[in-house]
Amino acid sequence: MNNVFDSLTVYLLLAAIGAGAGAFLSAGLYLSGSRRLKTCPPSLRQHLLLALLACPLLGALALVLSMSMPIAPAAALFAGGAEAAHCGNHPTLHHAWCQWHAPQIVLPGWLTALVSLIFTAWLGLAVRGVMRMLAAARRLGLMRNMGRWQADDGYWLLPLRRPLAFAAGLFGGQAFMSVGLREHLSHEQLAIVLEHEHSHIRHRDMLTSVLVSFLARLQAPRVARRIRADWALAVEQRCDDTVARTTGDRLAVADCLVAVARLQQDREPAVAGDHACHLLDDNLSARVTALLEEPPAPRRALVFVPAGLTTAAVMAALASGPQMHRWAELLLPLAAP
Amino acid sequence: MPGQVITLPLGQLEIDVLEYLWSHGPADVKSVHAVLGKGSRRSLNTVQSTLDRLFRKGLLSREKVSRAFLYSPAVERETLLLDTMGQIANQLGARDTGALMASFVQRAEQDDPGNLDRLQQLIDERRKRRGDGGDDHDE
Repeated sequence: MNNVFDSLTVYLLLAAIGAGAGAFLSAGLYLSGSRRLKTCPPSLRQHLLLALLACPLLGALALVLSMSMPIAPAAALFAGGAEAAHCGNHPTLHHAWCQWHAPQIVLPGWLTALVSLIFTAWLGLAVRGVMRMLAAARRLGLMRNMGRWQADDGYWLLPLRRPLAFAAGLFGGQAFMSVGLREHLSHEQLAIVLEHEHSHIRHRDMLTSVLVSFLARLQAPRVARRIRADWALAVEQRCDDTVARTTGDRLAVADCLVAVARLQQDREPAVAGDHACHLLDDNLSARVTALLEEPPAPRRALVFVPAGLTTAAVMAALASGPQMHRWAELLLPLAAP
Repeated sequence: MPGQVITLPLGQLEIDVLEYLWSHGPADVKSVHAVLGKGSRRSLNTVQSTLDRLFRKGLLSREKVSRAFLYSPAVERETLLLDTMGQIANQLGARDTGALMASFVQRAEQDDPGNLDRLQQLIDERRKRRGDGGDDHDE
């Protein structure tokens, strides 16, 4: 029996190959379909983009699962044979090459060490990211402590002259607005800004953004950057649409966006805190332009496309398990040390 | 507060002390306790240690007047808040800050006033075409 590091390394290599294939597939889908994607309603577009970002993870999971399913149910489902039939084909090589139960391959030491090192570094970066996120979330407490809760409208009023409004918090997010913004907005505009922020909170956009951030790290950087920017725009436009439906006036929402942007422009040059307010790619023009048009008709059938594609990809990977297994048996001896 | 790093979120008493000093100006521990300790179980020692902590964090300055320290804010309210937001942004990196904060309008495009004028013009034209006038937007 091999040691656990060999098995783990094989699983990690499989995951990397699956993630690579998934990233390649999603990049191809995105680059070939990004124009059509732009015509989709924002709520659908954000889900499609999220599904594209999830492709590498799904690819990795599918490949790992397909190579490590227990023999009995797998055989019953796909191969139509029993465990004996499967293992009987290579009784002498079973412990060396059979991938069906768990990876049993003896890998060169340098490969095991390299994969372990890369995985450990990746895990370290992930842990550091989580720690930073938690520390930043704690800092939000300071802003809440310094704000005044406006129970009627459900937001924290911050004693800031700079015109700002944002939703913050991973779980149970809250809306914040500065005094500087509130005193320049009409009652109608105030309602628009707050409804927009509450829409972010209702849909847990900040939490989803953590997921997006994680998934994007498995993608090719340039494609990931574009998909993330498109996703952020889709989220903002979905919130704008929600407000427009509530107020019944899309032009009022567009007006409010420009008015707030103009207020921020009139302020003196940015200091540290301003960075928190222009973090994503610029999307004001796209949002205003979209609000000038009638919203695209909902295409509910398309909602099932990402779900269908995902299911098909996982099933195909699982169904190909026996074939992969046989390919592994055929090819891996050639690469053996 | 250039270069100052606030290491932890402040507690409610620390915020209360800062709020008091921001609104009333420099004060010694007895004056602060007379207001913040009233109606609560906060002892003079608690208020004193809070003032010391804020001083060590660089949020208060102090000078000795006769036998007592006179504390005053070393940082403006607005600076503290903006600094905190900046630290959140720096901590998470530009793109990941969206994971914690989603703002109503981002700033990048606002550096071009002509762009805002163009957008406003588009809105006004659409409003005119809709038939409800083009001059009712707020500047």
